[in-house]
Amino acid sequence: VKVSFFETGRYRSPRPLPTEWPVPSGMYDPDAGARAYRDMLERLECVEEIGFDWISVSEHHYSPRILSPSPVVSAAFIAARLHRITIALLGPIVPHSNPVQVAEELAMLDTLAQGRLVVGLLRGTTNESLTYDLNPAEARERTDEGMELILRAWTEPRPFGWQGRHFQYRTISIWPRPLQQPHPPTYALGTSRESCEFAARHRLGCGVSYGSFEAVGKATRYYREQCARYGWQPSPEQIVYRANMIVAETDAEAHEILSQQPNRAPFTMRPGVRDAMATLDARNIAGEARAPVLSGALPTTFIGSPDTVVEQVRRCQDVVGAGVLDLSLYPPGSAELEPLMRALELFGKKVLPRIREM
Amino acid sequence: VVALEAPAHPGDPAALARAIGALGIDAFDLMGTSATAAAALELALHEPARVRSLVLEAPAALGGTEREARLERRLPDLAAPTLVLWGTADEAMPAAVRRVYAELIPGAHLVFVYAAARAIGADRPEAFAGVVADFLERREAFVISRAPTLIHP
Repeated sequence: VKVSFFETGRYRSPRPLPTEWPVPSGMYDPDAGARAYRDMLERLECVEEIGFDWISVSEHHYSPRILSPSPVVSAAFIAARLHRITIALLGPIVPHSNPVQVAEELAMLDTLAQGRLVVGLLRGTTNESLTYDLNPAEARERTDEGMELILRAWTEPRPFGWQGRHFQYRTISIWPRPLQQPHPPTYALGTSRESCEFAARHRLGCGVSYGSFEAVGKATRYYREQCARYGWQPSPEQIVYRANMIVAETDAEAHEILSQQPNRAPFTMRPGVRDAMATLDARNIAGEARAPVLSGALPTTFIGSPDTVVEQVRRCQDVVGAGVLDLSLYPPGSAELEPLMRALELFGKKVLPRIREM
Repeated sequence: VVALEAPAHPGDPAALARAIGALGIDAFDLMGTSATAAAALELALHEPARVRSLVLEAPAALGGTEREARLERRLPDLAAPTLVLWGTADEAMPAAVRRVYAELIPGAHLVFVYAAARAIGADRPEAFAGVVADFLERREAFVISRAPTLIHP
């Protein structure tokens, strides 16, 4: 199994912040921000040294939790400083983007990084519809069309126009094209039937996140069935599972760390907005309706001593079948860096060498 | 709009030209769809002064017979501005054959119609009519957007 380190920026606020999304921009501390990005680089140098295969970045807005409104900027910066590791951009929020610009930026990034780019395309968390005033009822359709346009822009050799449902262009002809041909390894991210079906139809990888092994396993099984329907079989590396991991010397210590974390949903909106969004932004796992995350933290599916975590990875292999684990070590948004660095070291010494060959 | 029945011999454009002349039409815009694209291309090559512009909807005029190979060799002589439309869900046509039109026709403009298969006009009627009407009205200048973005005047 390959391992990926999910980098979230780890902004440490000098003062307590409200938990509601969006977090007031005026409470941002520029020095703390500069420090977060400095620390990020230092941390990622360790991550590369330890032997992770990928570093992943994602797109989130209006909050210190994941300080990365432009993952292309993060990825370019990281790629310039680290020279071996693969940079996984998981991913640009397609429905509120200009897909042609995404295709251009990712092609440029792949070329700048000398072909070390991996791409995940996704619809985005529910709150992100508010970021650029996207109608949430259109998010699914815009995602599908945008993804198809990005793939077309990467591969079509002559200038072309696009007469879409949500996007219209009369002249597209991108330079540079990706270094990796026909395009970087690409995943459709999400557990939904639509996302798995899209990935299977376009021979892309599939990325699932945060659910229990059983829940995300339903999606990966559905994805593999769809691939078979389209006459092909995905490689293990074409399935990525993003999950929280808390690894400590003992099981008790790991659970103690978890119990100290605030049990809150990641991007909490005002109740009136949250409830209205829940009705507009339906989600599913392989076609079965999935309840919106209204409260409570995302589950931590890998937790315990190195021995326990190794066993959990083995079980995950059986149930989910992901060839890449994209790990958020220690909960993202956590302000404490010392324990994170200890966890990284422990993971590198006692977990990574044992799961590598699984 | 005048709809003509597909001629039995697409390689004989003179008969088609006479038929259109008999209707009192001198210069005209021409559209060929799927298999009838061959007749449209032959006519546009035969009557360059009369065919003002050409629209090819998912054309199936190349890629097989000797006659098709002869037609392909003459595509660089085509003078009319040409709109080539493909549906993104059209899986029947190999990409290598599909790409020949835009590669060889000097005034070609290629447009993909999202979520349409072979019968683009039937699958996405508004999208099809929108792009074709815009092209017929403005020809090559149809690449310049005039969609308003003003929200609150």
